[in-house]
Parts: sequence; C-alpha cells; structure tokens
Amino acid sequence: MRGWLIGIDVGGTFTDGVLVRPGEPTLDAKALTDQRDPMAGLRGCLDRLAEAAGTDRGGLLARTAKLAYGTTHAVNLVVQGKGARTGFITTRGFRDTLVIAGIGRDRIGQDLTASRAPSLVPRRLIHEVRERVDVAGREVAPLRVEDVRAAMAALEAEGVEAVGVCLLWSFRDASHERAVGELLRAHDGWFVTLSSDVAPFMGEYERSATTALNATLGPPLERHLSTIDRELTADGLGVPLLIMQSSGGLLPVRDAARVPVSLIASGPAGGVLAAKLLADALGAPNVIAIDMGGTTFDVSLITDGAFARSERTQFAGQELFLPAIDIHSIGAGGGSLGWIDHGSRLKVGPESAGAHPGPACYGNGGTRATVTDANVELGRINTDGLAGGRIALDREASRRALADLGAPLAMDARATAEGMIAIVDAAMSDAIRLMTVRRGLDPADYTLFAFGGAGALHAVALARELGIRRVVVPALASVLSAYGIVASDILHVVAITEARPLEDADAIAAAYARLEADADRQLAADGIATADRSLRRSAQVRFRGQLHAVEIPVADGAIDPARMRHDFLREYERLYGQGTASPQAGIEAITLRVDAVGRTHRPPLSPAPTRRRAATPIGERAVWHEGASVAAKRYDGRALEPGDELVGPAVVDDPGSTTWIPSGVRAHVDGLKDLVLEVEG
Amino acid sequence: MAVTTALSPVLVEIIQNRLLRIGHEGGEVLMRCAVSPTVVEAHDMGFNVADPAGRTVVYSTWMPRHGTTLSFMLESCKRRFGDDIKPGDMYLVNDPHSGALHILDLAVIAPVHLDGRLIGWVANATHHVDVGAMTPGRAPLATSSFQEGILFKPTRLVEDGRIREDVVGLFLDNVRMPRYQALDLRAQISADFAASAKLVALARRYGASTLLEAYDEILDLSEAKARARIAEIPDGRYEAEEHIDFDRHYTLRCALEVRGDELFFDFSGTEPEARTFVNSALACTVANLHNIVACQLLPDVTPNAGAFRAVHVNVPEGTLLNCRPPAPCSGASTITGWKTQQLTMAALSQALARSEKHQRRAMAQWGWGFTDVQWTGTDPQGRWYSVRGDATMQGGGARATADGIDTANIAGSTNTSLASIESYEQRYPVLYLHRGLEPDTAGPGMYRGGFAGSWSRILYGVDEAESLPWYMGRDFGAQGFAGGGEGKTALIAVKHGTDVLERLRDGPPLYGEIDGDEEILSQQMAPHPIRRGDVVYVRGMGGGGYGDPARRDPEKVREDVENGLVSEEQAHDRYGGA
Repeated sequence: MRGWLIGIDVGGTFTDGVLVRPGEPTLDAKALTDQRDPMAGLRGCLDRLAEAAGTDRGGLLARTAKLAYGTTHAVNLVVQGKGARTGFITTRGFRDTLVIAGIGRDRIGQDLTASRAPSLVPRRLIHEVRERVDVAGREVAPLRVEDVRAAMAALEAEGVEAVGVCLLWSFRDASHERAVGELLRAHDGWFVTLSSDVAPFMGEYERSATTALNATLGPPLERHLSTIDRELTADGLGVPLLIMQSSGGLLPVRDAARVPVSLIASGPAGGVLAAKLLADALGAPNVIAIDMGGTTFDVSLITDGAFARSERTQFAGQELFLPAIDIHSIGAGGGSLGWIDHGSRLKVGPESAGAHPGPACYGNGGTRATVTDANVELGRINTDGLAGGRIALDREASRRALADLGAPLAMDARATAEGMIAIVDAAMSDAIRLMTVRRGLDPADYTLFAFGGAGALHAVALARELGIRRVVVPALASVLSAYGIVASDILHVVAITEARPLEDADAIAAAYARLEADADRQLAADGIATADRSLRRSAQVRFRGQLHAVEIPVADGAIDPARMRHDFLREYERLYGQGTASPQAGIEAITLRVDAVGRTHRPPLSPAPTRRRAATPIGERAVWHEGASVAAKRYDGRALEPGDELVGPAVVDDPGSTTWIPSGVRAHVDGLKDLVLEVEG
Repeated sequence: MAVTTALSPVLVEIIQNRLLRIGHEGGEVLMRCAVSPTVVEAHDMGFNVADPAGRTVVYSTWMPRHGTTLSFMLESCKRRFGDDIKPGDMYLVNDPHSGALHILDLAVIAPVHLDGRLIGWVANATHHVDVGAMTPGRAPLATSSFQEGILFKPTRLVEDGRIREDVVGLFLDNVRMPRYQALDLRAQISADFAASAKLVALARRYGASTLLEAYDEILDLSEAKARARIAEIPDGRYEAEEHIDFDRHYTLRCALEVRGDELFFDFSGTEPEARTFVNSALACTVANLHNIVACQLLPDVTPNAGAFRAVHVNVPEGTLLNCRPPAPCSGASTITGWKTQQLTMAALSQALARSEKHQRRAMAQWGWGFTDVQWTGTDPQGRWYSVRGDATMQGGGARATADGIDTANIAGSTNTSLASIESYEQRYPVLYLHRGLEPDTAGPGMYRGGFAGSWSRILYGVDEAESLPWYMGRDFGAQGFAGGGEGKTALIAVKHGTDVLERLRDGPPLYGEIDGDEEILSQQMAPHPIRRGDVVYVRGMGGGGYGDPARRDPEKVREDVENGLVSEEQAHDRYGGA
C-alpha cells in the first residue's frame, strides 16, 4: 500500500532525507552529495531511509505516495558557470538591456576596482528583431518574421542550446513574443523561454534577466530532473516526482523543468515551510525562523500565520522577477573564519572554511579558527561525537587556532572565542533586525525557531539580544528543510502588473477572473481534484507615484474598493508609522496575484501526550559563559520524551546539532518532540 | 575586569555595525515612502549618523558624497541654533553655502537626545525634483543664485516632535510638484524619526557613555587605517588639469602632495567663479573629493570624519570650486562637483601608479558630465509632466588591471540605477527608439575604457513640449592614463521634422537611419519647443583607456569586435589588429 512520504533536500555538502510513515516514527538520513553524479547522494539517502525502515530502495519506493525534491543544483550551475550556451532575442534598439543591467544598483559596490557581473548572455548572441508594442499594448510595428529567421540562423551557427526572448511591453501584449516562440520551437532541441511566460512584469531589464537565466538553466536542469525521474521510476516510484520552488510550493517535474529559474532557492524554502507548519501546530502566529549551517545564516519570517514573500530576487549580480519566500542570508555559519582587521579589531566571516578543510577541530588540515572552534573552546559543542558520534573533535586544535588568532590583540584562546561568538551573534541579530525592525516589526512579538546544524547553539543569545521570550528547536532541526519539502503543496503563482486605481472595481474583478481561470486550469492539468484546489488573491498596492508597494490579501467574491483602501492604509501605517500615509496622492493596485494551491498528501502532525517530569541528564560538561565556567547538565536529545523538563545551564546533544541552554532559561519537550525554551527578559 | 577589556574591540565592532544599520534602515524608510524617481530609482540620497559634536561617525553608501555635505550642514545647524538645540527638533537645509551639494538637495537633520542629553545626530539628504527656480529643477540659464529657487538656511522643521506645517507649506507653495514633494519631504522626516528611535534604543542598550566612547574609537580606527594606507603611497607632488565646456571653456587645476601619512589637495590655479551655474560651493567640492578618496583609495575603510582627518583641502575663495553668493551654483553637483572628482582621481592615480602595492587602484578618467534633456508639457490626460532622460550613461575609466565598466555612471556613483524604458513610457508621453552601448566610444588602451551609452526618443501621443537641454563634455573627452587613449565625447543632437512617425509601422528606425535637419545642440540653450516628428539623440562619454593599446591582449580586441563594440576599422587603427 502506498502511504509513505519522502522529502529530499540536496545541499552542497549533504543530501538530507526525511521519511514520514503515518502511524510510525518519522525517519531521517544524511548522505554526502556528489557534485558529479546527482543521483549518488539521492540513492545513498534513499538507501539509508530504506534501511532504517527495514526494507530496500525498491520496497521503499513501492510504498511511496509522494516524493518531493529540493536542490541547490540550479544555484551551483550558475555559480560554476555551467549553464547552457544561450542566445537571446529582443526588440530592435534594445540589444544592451542585459549588458547594462540597469547600471549598478547595490551590485557593483563602492570599490572603483570592482566590476559589474558579466551579461547573462554575451552581446554577440543577443539579436534584435523589428517589432514594437506601446505602453497600451497596441501594436506600433508588426513583427518582422525575416528578422527572427536571420537571428535563428546566426544562433544555429553559434551552436546554442537555449534561447530566451524578451520584447518591450510583452507583459501587456504577448502576441509578438509568442510568434517568435513558435518559430523557435520549430527548431529541434532548443530550450525556449519567453519573458511573458516566466516573468510577465514591467521592467525590461529584470524581465530579460529572469528570462535569460531560465533559458541558461533549462537544458542542464531538464537533463538533471529527467534523469532523476527516469531512475526513480525504474526503481519503482509509481507517482509523479514533485519539485520544490523558491516560492515555497511544489511543481510536478514536467512543469518544473520549464521554469528552472524558480528552483534557485528551492532548498532554504523548505526550511521556511517546515517552520510554518510547526508554527501552525504550536499555535504561534509570529515566528522568526533561523537556519544556521556551515557557511550561511538564513532568516525568514512568519507574521500573522503567513511567511513574507518578495516578488524580486537578487542573484548572481542580477535582479530577477522571481517570487520567492523572503529569505535573508548572510555569511555566518559554523565554518565562518575569524580574522584580525588592521592589527586591532577582531572580525568574523564572511569567508568560510567550508567542508574542506573545515574548522580546525575537524582535524582535516584546517588551522584557522572558525565559529565552531569557538563553540568547542567554550565547551558548548560536544567533542566526543558529532553526527551521531561518528566524528570526534580535536579540542586542542581549536584552542591552538584561537590562540594564534587572538595573539596580536593579546587575547587568549578563550577571550578570542568569546569575542568571535559575540561578533557572530551580533551579525546574526542584525540580519534578523533587517527582516523585522526595518519593516517596523518588533522581534519581541515573535517566537524564534532555530534549526540547521548550528542554530540551536546561538538561539538564546539572539533571543536575549532581540527581546524574544520563546525559542523552539524543532525535533528534526538538522534536516528540517527536507521535512518542509515533503510537507508542501503544489503551488502555481499567476500575476498581472498594470496600475489600476482602486476605485476601478470592475477592471480589478475582471483581471482576477482571468487569473483564476488560468490558475485553475494549471491545477487541473496537474491532476488535482477540484476539491483539493484552492485559490488565494493578493494585491500590491501603493500611493500613486510610489514605486514600492505594500501587499494586502484580497477577499474572495466581489471586489470591495473601500475594504482594499482600508486594508492598505492600515498596513502602510503599520509598516511606516502613524501619519505617514498620504491618501490625497491617490491609491492604485499595481500587481494582482493569485496563488493556486493543489493539496497533496501531507504528513500529519499529531502531538503525543506529554507527561511533565524532570529529564534525566547523562552527565555534565563545563561550559564557559559570560566570563565564568559553569557546570552544565548534559542531555542526549534522542532520549528526551514529550513532557521532559530541563533547566539551564544545560546542553542537549543531538546527532548533528547541539542546543545550548544558559542559566535562567527553562526548557521542555513538547508533544512533537520539539525543545521549547522560555527565555526571561 | 580583564574580560571587559578583552571584549572592548568586539563591542566597538558591534556598535559600529548597529550605527551602519541605523543609517541603512533610515534610508530604507526614505526610499520606500518617497515617490521621486531620484530617490526611489536612482538612490540619489544619503544618511548619516554623527556624534554629539556633529562629527560624522558612519554614512550610507548609496551616494557617498552626501555623507560629507551632511557633515557641513550639521555644522551649520549647530552654528545657527547654538544653545537652542532641543529634543524633538529637526532642521531643514538646502543652502549650498550652509553645506548642501546644490539647492535641490534638501537635508533633514535631527539631534537625538536620551533623557535630555544629546547623544548624537541623524541626518538625511535627497534630491528633490524642483525647488521653484526660474526653470523646473536646475537653472542652467541663471546668472544669480536668486533665480535658483527657494533657499533654506537651517530652519526648524519639526519642533517638540511635531511637524511645523507652516514651514512645510512654505516649501510646497514654492515648488512645481507639491503633491509628490510633500510625500518626499514627509518620507525624509519619517526616516529621521525611525533612526532617532533606534539610536536611543542603542544608547539604552549599552549606556550613553559607552556609545560616546565607541564613537571616538570608530573615528580613531578609520583615521588610523586611512593614515596607514596613505603612508603606503609614495611621497611626492602630483598635478592635474581638467576643463569644463559650457557657456565657454573653463580650466581647473589640482595639485596633490602626499607627505607621510597625509594628503594635501590644493586647487589653486582654478579659474575665478563663473556667471553661469557651473560654480560649486566649498562643501560640494570637498564632498566630491572625499567621495573619490573613499571609493578609490579607501574602499575598505569605514568612511567618516575620522577617515578624512588626514586629508587636507585648500580651495581659494572666489573660484569655480569655492564660489561666493550670489554666484549661481545649481549645476554644482554634476558639473564642478564631478570635475573635482576627476581632478582628485587624476592626481591620486599618478601617486597610486607609483605604488607597487596599490597600483591596481590607479585608473584612467571615467566619463563625466551630464547630458540633461528635460521636456515639460501637458500629457493627453491633461496632467502637467516633466520628463528627463538618462543623463549619466558614462563609460567607466580603465583600471590598471581591468577594462572600464560599460555605461557605468560617473566614478563615485556606481550604486545608482537606470529607470526602465517601460517606466519612462508608462509615466510620460514618449517613445524610445533605442537605448544601449555606443560602439567605438571607449578610450583604447591595454585595458580599454568602458563604452558610453546612448538613447533616442520621440514625443508620442502629444504634439509639442518645451525642451530645456544642457550638457558638457562635447569638447573634452575623458583622458586616458599611462599611454591609454581618450574616450569619445558626449553629444546631444536633434533631427527636426522627420517622417519617423510614418515609419514606425516598418519597425522603429534607429537614429542614424532617419533623415532630417540635424542640429548638434550647444551646451547651454534657452528653452525651445520640441515637436511631433523631432528625434532627440543623447550620448554619454566613453571612459579613458589605460596603458599602450598595442599591448592589449589580441583575444580581447577580437572579442570586442565580435560583440559589435569595436569596428574592424578601429581595431586596426587603434590596436593594429589584423
């Protein structure tokens, strides 16, 4: 019987997997990612899950009702410059839109020796065609088919594998782009991307960049996804493979292969979705989710039960129209290196020791002190076992690296370690402030969810810094993204951009009707039953003249301009302060959007009964904290049961992560086996 | 307490990061709430946090020269209000002789108090679209500062936390776009409110005394780093000469002396102040100099008052770079201001080129100047509009180890951005025929300059508008360095009474394909009509090249030819390529 659910998250170092078996304990596994063979890590991970479930890969897949897959493969292809050879077609006169890339924005920086990121498509592979549409979507000049044919011949000679097309105003009238697309698709073997399909929004540079990147990623990702799909099917998977997108929803593999650009933040999105599920289960409306791994620290927000999304993504020095869960990343992780700036100031990161050589304590040849070494020196990390006790850590190596680092400042290893932790904590709390305070949100109104290998070590310090009173370390903290991926639904996002006054209810209603019909059609094509489809409306609204807009939800049924106006003004003043709204400027909706959700199998989250009792420590560990050594009780995370209570100072050791609970903090294990920490002001 | 001492560098680092964030967050509020494209799209804005004495401790990097002008304006506020600086105050300033870059940049400056004690200042400045001058925006025809718009020496704008609507009204009643500008000014006030609250929270968190001590340490560290960098540059005297072409040609000079760990800039030999708006007040000159010192020499040093302690500037009064009222100076920010950047860069590059360690920071001239085309009129919906175009599509100067950036803006403003063609066509009755790189405009060299950008457009849906163009750089290009060639000059041209509208149906023609009476515009012109069928063409400047073109990697020459950026002819003539 098919009832098992599998989530896979392929990261740069590890492939994480989660197996949910209704009625039985959830299992997790990690395998090394092999950059050269995308199937190796996946197979390894599936084999471990199968072994843990007492079967083999075939047996596992035969019982699988849903397999959802997230990957950083798209990101890696771009970073390594391994995209397909790509051509581009645009309106005559505007060949350099991708080259100039909107000038610099925050992407060139202050250093005059820095350069702009190279064009996504080299200029000689960008071709112009005669055609023109105006602001109203009227045809100024018809498309000259002979220009398209000439461009095709040139691209053919250049041996391109993919072609992107972005014509001016195509988001208002796509007929010229479609006509170009038809001609291109008649050519065998080209992966074709039209801007009106992947990014139908105003702004020809961002639209072109999104289109070009999608084209570049198309051929290799199509190969990658179809290989996986084929092999899993051969191994016995009898359901369609689902792929995670940056927007936080799944797409069937065939749809996903058409919009590979949407896979760019597919892994981290899983973590946010898991946090959302957990937040719902715990009844926490406001959550700050932090994911601290080896090299990066990701922050995302859930406010009033919904995660923040943005319509744009900055990636590889380009600005993309790509709806994504709003995740802010900084270079701070366990592997972040300490260094001395100008002989007088201690700094941490963003450079990371990565997996090789890794922190000094790994004993793989690393001699420079990392945040992990600092945590080791302070006794916060368990040195007799990591990842289930497989790697022993060299505490002396950490101490030597820290002492070397601190010597010029006359700081000993311990002071250096304390300094590094304080600096990295401050950088992380600034990253959280950027996501909250900058938007007028007070972190004190939030619960902090800490996951990733290193999140739970730093969570209480961050909570205290930001005035947060509750911290949750989820049961599956080290593989949470994989869990979020399997727990997601199918999501299609459809949107249209055109400024409309709020009073124009008929036009807004008509636009929503078109979007909803389109969205519903896509869900039907995925084979989602009518009862499992739901559509959610939202709108980006602003004062006339503004470029930034504020997102508000829009109720089903008839459009009510007064209600939209009220919701917008309230949200605006909530974000920017009392009295900052200026309704006399006029209010307009700029983007109308429909999220089409197709419900799929999801793991049930059913809390176990709890029985309050003091947890049993397995020993003690000396931890250096705020200038003194404290004897912290040590717990084995795997042995903790719902209802167990702990009091700081304490450390909870899990395979792959440690939770540090300073004194003054009380903790308990909830019915989902999450560790809940109550932090006093 | 050995531990506290050990953590002290850490605490300073934390406080500095917080101050930078406060500045950034203040700027974000401004950007999100404002409506003017100069703020929202071009990021022509700055945000400072200063200590109680008014010394700038951190400033934002959107457009770094605002950092120094805000320091000058803050100083003016202290002078005017002296002992009368009260909690809940904010001051409005746009007087160039009180420190503004030019009269269109309005600053809102707020003292920040904790329990009645002054703990610092927050301040922001941004470019307003209009200040009620004789012509919309800048006043290229002005002969006196009294024609350049409404002037605010430090004026109390917020009192006891309440906005003084009389002052806001005074401003709005004197400008051409009061509805938009009301939003912009309120956004500036919101930004200071937000930043003040955060600075107070920071002082509460660590204690006001700790904060004040940290200010000193941050300033001292920037100074130490700046001095160490300067000490690594060979001592010597380096001279530069530049020219401006506007109503006539002007000459400007700069001599840099590097002595130990200090820089001495002297602009003696620069011509006396002009009767046209090309003049610059002192603050604008110093700010632009600081901008280049920060971006070219000290990009890894937190720029603040400390970083510039080792940088000395002498500008003789009554010259183009230190004009006296009522000499007009509303063009300062983009004319003499940018000339100051070039002079500074030209002198610094000579010094850097002699330093083995910092040679890579030497560079040729970036395209400079400003190609302004402003069309005003009434759109088909009957609304008054004023549309400008991209005025800074300048090629970057070639660097000692890299080509210049293609169409990069000027040297000190690479973080700005271009509005999209679609955004122009949406807001205004215009249709663009092209916008892109202009081939054969880069100064040749072992490393070539960046290519200039160009654009052309027509009126669309209306029959006539009033045109007010001005520019410079038609007669002088961006100079090459170390044997590199000069970049191509700027140009504004109009073809009058063409059949372009009839030809649109065949696919909009490019400027070169259109027949008509071509007029190469003068740099300074009176307002005149632009009509249906007229086509305007605007080209920025190419960046200067670095090093002997004969030493350029032939592979790179070939690549430029393949990409259609260098003609076969130029490849042959300039690079001797086959």
